[in-house]
Amino acid sequence: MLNAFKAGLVTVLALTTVIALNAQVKPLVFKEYDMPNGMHVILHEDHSAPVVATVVHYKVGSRDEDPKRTGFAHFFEHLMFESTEMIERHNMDKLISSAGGQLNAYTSNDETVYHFVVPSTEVRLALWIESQRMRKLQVNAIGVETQRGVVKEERKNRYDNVPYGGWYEKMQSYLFRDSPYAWSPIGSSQHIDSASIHEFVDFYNEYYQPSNAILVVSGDFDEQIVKETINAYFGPYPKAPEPRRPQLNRVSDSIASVRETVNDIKARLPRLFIGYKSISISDADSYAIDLLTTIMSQGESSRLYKSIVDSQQIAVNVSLSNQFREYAGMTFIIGIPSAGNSLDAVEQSIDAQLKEVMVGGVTDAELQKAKNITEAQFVGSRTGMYNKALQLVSYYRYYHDTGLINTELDRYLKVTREDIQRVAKRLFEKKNRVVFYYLPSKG
Amino acid sequence: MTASPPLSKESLKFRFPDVAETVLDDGTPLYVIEKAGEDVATFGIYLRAGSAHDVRAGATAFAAEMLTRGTVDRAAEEFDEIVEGLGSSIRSTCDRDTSSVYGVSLNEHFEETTRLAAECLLRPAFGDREMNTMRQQFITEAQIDEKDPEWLATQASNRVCYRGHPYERRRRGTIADMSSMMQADLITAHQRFLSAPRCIIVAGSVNTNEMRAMFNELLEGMPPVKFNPALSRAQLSENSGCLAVNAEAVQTAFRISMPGVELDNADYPALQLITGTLGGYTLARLFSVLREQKGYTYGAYAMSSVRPWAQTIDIVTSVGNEFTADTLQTIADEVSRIASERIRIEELENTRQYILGTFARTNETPQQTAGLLWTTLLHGLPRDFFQEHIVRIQRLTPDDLLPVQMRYFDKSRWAIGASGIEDVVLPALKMHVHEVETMHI
Repeated sequence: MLNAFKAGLVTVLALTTVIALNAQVKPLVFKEYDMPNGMHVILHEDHSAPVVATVVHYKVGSRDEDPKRTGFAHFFEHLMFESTEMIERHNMDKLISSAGGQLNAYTSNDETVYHFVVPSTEVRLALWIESQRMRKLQVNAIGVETQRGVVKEERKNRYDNVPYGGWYEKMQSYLFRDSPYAWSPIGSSQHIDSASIHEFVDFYNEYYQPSNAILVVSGDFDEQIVKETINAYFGPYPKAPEPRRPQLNRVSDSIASVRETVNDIKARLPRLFIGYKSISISDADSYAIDLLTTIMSQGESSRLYKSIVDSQQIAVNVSLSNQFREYAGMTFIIGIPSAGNSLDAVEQSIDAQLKEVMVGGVTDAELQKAKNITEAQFVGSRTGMYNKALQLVSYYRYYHDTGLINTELDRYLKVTREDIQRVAKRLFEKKNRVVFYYLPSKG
Repeated sequence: MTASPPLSKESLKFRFPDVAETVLDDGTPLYVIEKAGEDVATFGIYLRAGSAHDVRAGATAFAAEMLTRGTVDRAAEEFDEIVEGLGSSIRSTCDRDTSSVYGVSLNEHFEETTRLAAECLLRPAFGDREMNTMRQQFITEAQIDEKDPEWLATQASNRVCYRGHPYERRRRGTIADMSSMMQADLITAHQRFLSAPRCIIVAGSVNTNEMRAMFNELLEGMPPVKFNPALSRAQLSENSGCLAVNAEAVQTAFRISMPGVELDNADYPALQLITGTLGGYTLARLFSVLREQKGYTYGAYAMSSVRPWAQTIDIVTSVGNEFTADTLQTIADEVSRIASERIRIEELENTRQYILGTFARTNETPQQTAGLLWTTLLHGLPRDFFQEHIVRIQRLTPDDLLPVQMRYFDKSRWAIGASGIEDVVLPALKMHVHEVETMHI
């Protein structure tokens, strides 16, 4: 029996070193159309579970804010759960929860996204509430005052009360200096405190319009009924002018070189953060950068882990991540030195690894492994109505091609070793980057 | 445009998915959630010995997490290369009660992935070099945890909820435990969890008979079950509090507990509805008062925590320092209210529908179903437990709930764990509990 067991493992080895994966991914079926008022609708019917997810994606994020009014988009996300002409305060939550559903939302630099996940019997309710708050929201003092307090506590919870809590905002501010990507969605409490109700209403009227929204319905529903419902609820809203937006399509590629030591009273250990300006989400090189990231940092057989953590034992943890935005991106590396090693030593080891990939590229086996991991993740991420809805809306918004949900994997599979080396140079050859040394401080 | 909410009159359509059940030749139960058409398959091998069963504190966690760090047959690097080369994932871990190995892969690599998981479960190397790497990682993570306000509050809560019980210990032990861990400790812990009662759950586009044949082959050589995972019951220290001091905190984190019940207790369905009404979701009382009325917090929740040897009702929130005292008083008022007032039918219906909807929303995939199935197995419940639980939830009335409210929601039985600034939190704690201690981690 042991021989049979080992024979199986020999087969495994052969597969991983020679053969590329070729998963048979079932296409995800969807329909999409534009309404006369400009709202884009995507429908994905799937009867595998008695659940429907609705996602309304508004093309407004923190990058659309006035620099003197940062945090508006995120604050507005909170206000959208308050009241409408036909829904009293707290009743939005009540209607969805008491129907067995769940509701939430998030705000990023580029988007504000609202979602409901409801039993399939309640899809009309979910659509009705979304239609209500799209154009019938009541922005009043009680809602604004309450949410001011809530958002301040959110900020403390996520940033101010945790070790290294400020690094991300600080990194963003340097990498995207002089652009609306320079601040994070949580924004400034002072800006929110000093804003008037009138300003919030203006923000709502500017961005919360059907022509600035994408609606996705995913799950166990009847297409004809849902189409009629959408038409009845959202159809009467007129088309609005295109919102004002800051010029972002020319976010500068150059950044100032920054090296800063931060004494963090909440930190117990030193930690290194390195940031690079990266590319936009729709840049053709984004696939190669994703694969490069996987090769460098995903799993314990990745380059950074194998070299710096396992072999040299200079760090106990090193990770490299990418965040793409509509018009730019950031790549960052985080390292924690092992006992007796310094942040300098970790930085030098990371730099040596970056140089190695720029000069020597990657092997066929490394690239194939990264493609296999990507393929498994691609398939694995398409589970659940909500996840599928989010992916559909992102493909439409950022690539103008919803069908990529079925074909994007091919773009990863076409990436070559030369592409990986080229994008490594494109990312890391820049002289200017942002480096933070966070050090524990006694206060 | 409809002027009122278009609420459905249809009842919720939910049925717990079918689970095929069989037994391997050595008696290990195998549960298979077959769902044709899934591109990804998962498995979990669960062993009923966790960190609470440690003889040497932290050894089970160390041994469980070391399983994927090299085997007798191959070094860690080679193991990682193979698993990641397949695009698969194998994770090994333990919680207080269970050690486990999980895997996920594309269908075409499921067999290879499970073979590798079996290899690491049965034949781990526990090599010195890998142990030292993991030791450093554990110590680093522990040092980071020790500055985390939520983690600190949980340690304080563990003190007052599980004083002297194995549940009080940290899962991975202290930094001193990690520093002195030897290979022999891991081998002992490994032998213990290998001989613990076990089961396997597989979910995806798989066939039960094929899975049975495969696991019979892969797990041949597993020692017979001889470990008894029974522990004494943990006793909550009523009317007491513990503060983990966090001198730089800008928020106070609270974990307030009261004695709860096991899942098969006749009061549990009612307790789930009551706890849900108090703080189970964003419409519930605590969230409404502390966040939506007072703006003190980003979130405030109540939930039942059910472990095999301890059950509590927990209230959890983090609030700005300046709101610490009023938050505790507000929670006390809400607990007193729920202990004494009949819940209005409308409020009960809201909670009931939310809970029932949760079953539908959290059973979209076979992997989610596997999670619920494991809950029934861990607690020795009948396979139809959740289906019956739903029926019981649907039947309960406000009059049924009131005696349960009075029985369990008693402020004088509070055990409060908190983290924050001493001068801010201690006076507030002393207003509500008799005994208060501080922890300096």
